Amino acid sequence: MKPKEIAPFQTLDPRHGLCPGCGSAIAMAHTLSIISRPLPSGRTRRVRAVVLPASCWSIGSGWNGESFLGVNLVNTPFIASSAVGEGISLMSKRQGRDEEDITMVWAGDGSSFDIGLGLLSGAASRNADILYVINDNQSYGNTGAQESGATPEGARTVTSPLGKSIPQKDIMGIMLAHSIPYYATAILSVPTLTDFYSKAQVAADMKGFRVLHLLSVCPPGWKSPTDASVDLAELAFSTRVFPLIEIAGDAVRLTKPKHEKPVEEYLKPQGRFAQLLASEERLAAFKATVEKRWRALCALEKSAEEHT
Amino acid sequence: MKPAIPTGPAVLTGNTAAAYGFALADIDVFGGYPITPSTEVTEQIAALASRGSISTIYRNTDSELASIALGIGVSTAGGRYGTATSSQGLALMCELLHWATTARLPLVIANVNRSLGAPWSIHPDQTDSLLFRDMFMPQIYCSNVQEVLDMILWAYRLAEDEEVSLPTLVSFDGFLLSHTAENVVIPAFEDVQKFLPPRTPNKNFVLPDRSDPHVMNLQCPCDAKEHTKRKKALVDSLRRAETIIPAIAADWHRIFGASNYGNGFARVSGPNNADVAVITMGSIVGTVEEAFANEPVRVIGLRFFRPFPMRELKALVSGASKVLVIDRSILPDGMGALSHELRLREKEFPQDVYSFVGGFGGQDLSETVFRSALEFVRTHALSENERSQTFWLGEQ
Repeated sequence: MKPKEIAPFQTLDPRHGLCPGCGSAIAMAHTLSIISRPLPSGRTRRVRAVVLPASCWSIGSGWNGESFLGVNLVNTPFIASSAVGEGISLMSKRQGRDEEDITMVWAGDGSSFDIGLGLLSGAASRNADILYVINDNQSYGNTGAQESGATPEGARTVTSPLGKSIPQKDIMGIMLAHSIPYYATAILSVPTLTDFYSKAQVAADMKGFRVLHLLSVCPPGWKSPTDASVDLAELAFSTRVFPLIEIAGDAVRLTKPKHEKPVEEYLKPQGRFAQLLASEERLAAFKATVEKRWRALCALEKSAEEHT
Repeated sequence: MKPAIPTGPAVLTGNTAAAYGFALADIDVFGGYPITPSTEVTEQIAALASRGSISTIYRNTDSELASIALGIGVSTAGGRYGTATSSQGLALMCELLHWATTARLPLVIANVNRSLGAPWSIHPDQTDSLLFRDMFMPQIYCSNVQEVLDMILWAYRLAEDEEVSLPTLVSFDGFLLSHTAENVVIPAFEDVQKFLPPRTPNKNFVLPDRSDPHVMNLQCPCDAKEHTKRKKALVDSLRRAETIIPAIAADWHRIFGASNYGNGFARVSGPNNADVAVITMGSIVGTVEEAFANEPVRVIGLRFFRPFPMRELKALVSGASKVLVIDRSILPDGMGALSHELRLREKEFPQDVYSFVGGFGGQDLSETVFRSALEFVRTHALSENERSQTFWLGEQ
């Protein structure tokens, strides 16, 4: 990508209330910029609204009715964003503007994996016409990084001080079980930039229920240096801890790192993994989980290739 | 579009009447989720939409929470939304229903009254809707099937008034109205359009027009001054609702050539100088009227519980020295919701207020039960203690 293609428009007002090094803030700026520019089909769509359930964005996206994101925002309770987004998109359809309008829901992992999972399932099964972004920082970030369904097994949080003792929920499996038209994981980092841009563009260009599952580095929750966020995001990709996959209908594409790196490189800068790193047994279990998931995704990709 | 439904005299159940009310309101989206005894409203909207008899977008939702969330989205985008539920379903909506009231979204919910558990009961009382008496949400109680149809239309008219802009609840008793067929006149769509024009949303509470360069951040945090202003505005919006209900009634009577709803607040019968006035709500209003048909008793069936029509009610009972209140709800302080409202306002209601409750979980409230209550009121002077107490109706 050329630099001029990646520079985000000035969509994020500097008064936004998110933390230094916040992965969600930078991903929001890029995503809004990407989806408001001409899309692969050649058309340009407009964001009708971004729906925000309870999250860091509830307090960081504006004040007294002013939007710091340059687009209309609709704040909702924690549980409600998917169906609220669906309601907005139904009115676009009713008004004959659904080719032009994009309704985007930007929901955290707590909202998506846990409290809002029921309503998310409903909206997904109805193939609601929304771009649903799972902004996954693997904890309840806004309340101070408590354990969520997305927290990796072994990671320490304030409500799992000994490290999470149960497996991370497989949100990809859950979403794919709904036969949605598009699900992709994405990471905003230097080697994954093209991948990120392409996925956001494709998702924005489509209709129906599209999930963009973003890994968002959260320095306060992950106990990582604020200036290490982009590097950590890259390491999540190159260590295959957060695999990059795109599933559009029957097509499956796994984005493989050119140079794989040891899992420890991703874990070491993060305080939340300190106990895990101190235990050979737990580290081995964590690595085994990474390997198992990677093999399963490779098999999924291979099986999809064989069937097409 | 004009709904393809019958017009004129018909025999309908309350649930069908509610479905026709939604059809005539030409709503944009209806979210359905089944719960006894409201299910048939949902089924009939689904049938009408699937046949193309109405242009409404129908969606099967995955819970009442999803249904109210969908409504928040539709209404925020300027659309007209409706749903039907009962009891546990309404209770499940609580968080989002409160959000919808404070976000000032004028959606309409038909609530078919059913006792709120535990224990399980599918039978009617008013403990479900009256759980929400502390919300800024107009609540209408129907006493017959015609009212069910008409009040759905009134509800949108009231809810969508730009200064009211609040969700509105239309309640009618499970089975006694939802499944009972009565003679009804289905209004003509052309007349309904005169009464209920398309929604013109209050621009403060909805997404801006696409051509509007102004960008909004709806329901984001604000400073305490603004927050306080929003709270105060809720009070004003319910007050506004109270002031426009007579105008809505007058408009209805003008368009439909009837005068059956008086000034809208209540269904009233009996002499205005009667010594005893009875106040109640819902399907038992008709039974009470029958029971006291030959008695000098004023019977007031309250149609609007919220906004509570204090001034109107005060005038209606001003000639009486005793007020017999029949509630089908019970509050933690041991009285029913209507009695509570009256006893809160001793200055306006200086009469002896006899508080009766009953009809829970389908308990039959017959004319005999009401006659013995009246006999008690006539022959029994309230002791000081009994002024804050409640009498339980019928056999227990």
